Amino acid sequence: MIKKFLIGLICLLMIFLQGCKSSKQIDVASLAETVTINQTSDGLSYTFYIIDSGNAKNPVSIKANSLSDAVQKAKKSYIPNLSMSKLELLLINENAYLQVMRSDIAFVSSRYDISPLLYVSLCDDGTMKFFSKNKEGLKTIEDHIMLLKNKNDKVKTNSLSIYNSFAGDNKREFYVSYINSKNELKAEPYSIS
Amino acid sequence: MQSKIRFSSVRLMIVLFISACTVLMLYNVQNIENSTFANDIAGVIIGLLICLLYAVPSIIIKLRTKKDFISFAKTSTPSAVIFVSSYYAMYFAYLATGFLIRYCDLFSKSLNPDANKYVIAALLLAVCTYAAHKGICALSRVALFIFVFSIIAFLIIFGGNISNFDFSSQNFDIQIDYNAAFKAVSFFSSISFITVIFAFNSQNTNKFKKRHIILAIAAIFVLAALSLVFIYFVLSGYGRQQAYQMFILSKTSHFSFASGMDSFFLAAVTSFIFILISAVFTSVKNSAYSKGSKLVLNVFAVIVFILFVCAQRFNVIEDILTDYNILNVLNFVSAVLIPTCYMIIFRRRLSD
Amino acid sequence: MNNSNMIKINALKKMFANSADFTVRNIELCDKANTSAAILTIEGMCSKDVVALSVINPLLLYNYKSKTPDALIDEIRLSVLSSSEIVEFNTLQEAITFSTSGFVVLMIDGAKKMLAIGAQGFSFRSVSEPESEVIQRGSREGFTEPLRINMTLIRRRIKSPDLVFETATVGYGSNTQLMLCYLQNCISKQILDEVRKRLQKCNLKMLLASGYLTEYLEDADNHSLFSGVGISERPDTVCGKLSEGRIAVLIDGTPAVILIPHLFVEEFQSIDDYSNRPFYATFIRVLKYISFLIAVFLPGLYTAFSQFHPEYFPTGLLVKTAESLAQTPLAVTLEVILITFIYEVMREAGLRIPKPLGHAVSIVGALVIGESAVSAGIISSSTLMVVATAAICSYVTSALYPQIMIMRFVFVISGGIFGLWGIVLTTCIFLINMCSKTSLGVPYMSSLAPFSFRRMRDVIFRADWKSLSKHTIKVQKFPETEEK
Repeated sequence: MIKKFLIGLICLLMIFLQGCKSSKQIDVASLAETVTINQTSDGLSYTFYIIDSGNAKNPVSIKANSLSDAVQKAKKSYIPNLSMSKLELLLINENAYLQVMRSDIAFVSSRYDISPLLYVSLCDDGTMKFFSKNKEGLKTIEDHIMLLKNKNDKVKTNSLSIYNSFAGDNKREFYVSYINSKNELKAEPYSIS
Repeated sequence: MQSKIRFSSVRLMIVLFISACTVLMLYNVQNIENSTFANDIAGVIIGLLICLLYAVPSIIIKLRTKKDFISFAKTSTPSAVIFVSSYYAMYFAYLATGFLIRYCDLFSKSLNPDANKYVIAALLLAVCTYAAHKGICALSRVALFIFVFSIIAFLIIFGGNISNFDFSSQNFDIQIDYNAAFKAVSFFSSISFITVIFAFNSQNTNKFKKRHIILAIAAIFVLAALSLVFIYFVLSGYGRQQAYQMFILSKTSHFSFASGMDSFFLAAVTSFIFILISAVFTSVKNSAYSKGSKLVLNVFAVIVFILFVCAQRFNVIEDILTDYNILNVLNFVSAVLIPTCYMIIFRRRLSD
Repeated sequence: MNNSNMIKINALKKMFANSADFTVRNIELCDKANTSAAILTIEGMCSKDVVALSVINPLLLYNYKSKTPDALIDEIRLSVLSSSEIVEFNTLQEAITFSTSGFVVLMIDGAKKMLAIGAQGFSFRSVSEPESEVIQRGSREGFTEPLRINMTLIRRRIKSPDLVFETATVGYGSNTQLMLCYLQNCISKQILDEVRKRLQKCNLKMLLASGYLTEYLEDADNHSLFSGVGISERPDTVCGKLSEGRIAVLIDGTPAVILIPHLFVEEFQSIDDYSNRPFYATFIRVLKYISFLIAVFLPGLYTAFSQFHPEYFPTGLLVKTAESLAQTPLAVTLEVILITFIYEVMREAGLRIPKPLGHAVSIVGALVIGESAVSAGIISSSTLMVVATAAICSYVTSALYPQIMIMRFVFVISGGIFGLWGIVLTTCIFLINMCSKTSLGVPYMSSLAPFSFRRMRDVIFRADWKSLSKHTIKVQKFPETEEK
């Protein structure tokens, strides 16, 4: 009897000690699905697209110098329950990639919660506008990236392969996907050296 | 509770296999500076040989006397065995606490940083103590289920990464860095603690054959080699950015649209550490005399928890408890030195 | 003891506290006997027609030759009465046992011996299909309350002299009669002796249902959710188990027959499996295992993933689930527990409610929970779906329902507090508990752990009969069975 009482007491203690503070409840968590990086007149702008029920996209734009900085600022001021565990696409404008691609990919690679299979793609302004207005934008762009990958095996489409290409000793140039919106939306290989 | 029932030695091998898989899951390339694939494979091969060598004294005692080492020691030196048991209690405490610290470190770095480590450790120890009270026979039955799950988990983790192989960014020059190679050997040879668990739990096994333990050890190191292939040729440099590469491997695993395979990693590593610590506790229980074994086990669990708390508070204690070199020295003493001394001193009992 | 009828009858009346159903009929035996006799019955237990025609009438009309009371008893037993069941006894305690079992007790004034004459005529439920074990093919007969009828149902199926029925009495207040039933060419002597020993140690006052006895028959050092003792109401199932070396315990007054040893894998086997084609039987068995896992794990996993690992949901499902959960005031864990609790209340109410009102309960349940609560935003539709799916799956293996219910609650709480890690650890606890359990020394998880490849023919798969009949299964031969 005493043993059962002690076990019950220990269990209750565990519950109080552990609490639910380490939970990230599905209904209150702000799961970022896409992050876009744009060069504006004020500097770099990081836009977080949060998963929401179907209809409206609700992006949050933050001025920052890097993705890690942007995530910190977002959690502090704008999106306190931000979670990057469902991040699927990192879309970088062609006028910003030189500044941030390497460092942001390095940041993504150091985060345990971000998937290494995160799609990373460059794009032009037209694609950015298309993405911000179109609710099926993520799926469309992912489809284009996958089509490109199937056509051309050498194109690096996820953060894992892009990081390894940056970190490789040979310093060879490699290709990433570039979403072009000139005539219609199309993914092309883009050389990175 | 069936403490005197004889069970198949294949099941004990499964327990040892799963215990060793814990080490593989806790592989952290960040601990080995300048590590390369060649260094680590050399570490695997040498670790395999060391492990096989460490198993020899226990195998000889088992085959000649049909007893495990601790039973042999109890019958050979009934009064002096308390000193031997005390040493092994210290060894098992070191082993259990070390892996508990590593597991909680994995948990906080890769799975849930906000989780309370003390609660995790306390609950895990409580469950393992309960399992150890039931005995190695019951534990080996649970190990069967976990073994089946582990096959599924490894198939998913490795199978889902086949499409991620990338040889283009690899440097295939073989450069031996002796420091890195030593650390790799140190890591992989730490798996030899399974021979000590074998030495304490093989009493009630039947149909034991040498090839069982040799195959079990070989399977562990084949799995280790396979893991290294995936870690180096799938993750490559990316793997160094975080601790615990097997976890990253589970995140990169995917099957067309399905993802979230890291849940299998969490389930697998938790069940593996459960088997490992329970097997260690069962060994402690077997080293005590049956009358006071329950109390000894409970006290032992409390001691492990206290050591864990001390390690969390003081870095120097944590460093000592998680040092693979110290573990290897203790493995040598526990698996080879002491049993060999017994074999030499009581060689007549062996040939009886 | 004084052999005077008056004294014996007065003693019995005192023992029965002058109970209204204890009746005494005094008769005079004429001719050379010239003595009185008493016929004792419990009203309602004996058939009045049988008593009058087969007992009293022959006694009154016979020309007796014996002169002494004891010789008279022998003459009556051998030459007068036409009943097929006549037992001779000496003590008043036996008189009580026989009379309360529906026998007519005959006492001759001055005789030491007494006779118990079989004339049972109490009313009982007819043999019908058991509602708790419904099958598609096979017999529609189920056990009833009287012990003798149940014995007959088994004897009709096993026409072999190896079938043995052994009497026992349990319950010092109720004196309930039991029958130990086994096949002597299959049973292990150790198991049989162990069962006898445990029945002797049983200190129950009243034995009114088989559930009372299960805890006495289980292994003492086991504290487990699962029971090492099986129950069945089907004679065909019991006969099948007897041929595997098990013991059946039939209890007078209850149709539920205890079967021991009982294993975990038997919960997923039914007599239907052996009547259907092997491929279909295998499919149904696999379905049962999957349903069991869904019933136990689904609510816990849903809670754990919603609370701690939302990234494991596919995006479409994530959106829907988050949307439905965001509209409700309660946390996921509490919501799951609340819905499960309401469902259990409704299930229990449906079980106890009189049949005419049963429709009202189902309508109220569907409207209240299915419609109104979701529309009002008290509970979410996704949680309701999860709990409903788990509930339906739990009825596939209805014998395990109590265990599934408890495990489900435990997994929901552990998943809600600790996430997937908590569920894994709780699974390890349940596994170690189940794997260390024994049933009369036979490991409870036999065939799965310890694993037997050969026995997989009848565990997850159902091999064809040509293969199954090659090897006879005897439960005492299972590996790691402890000698008691």
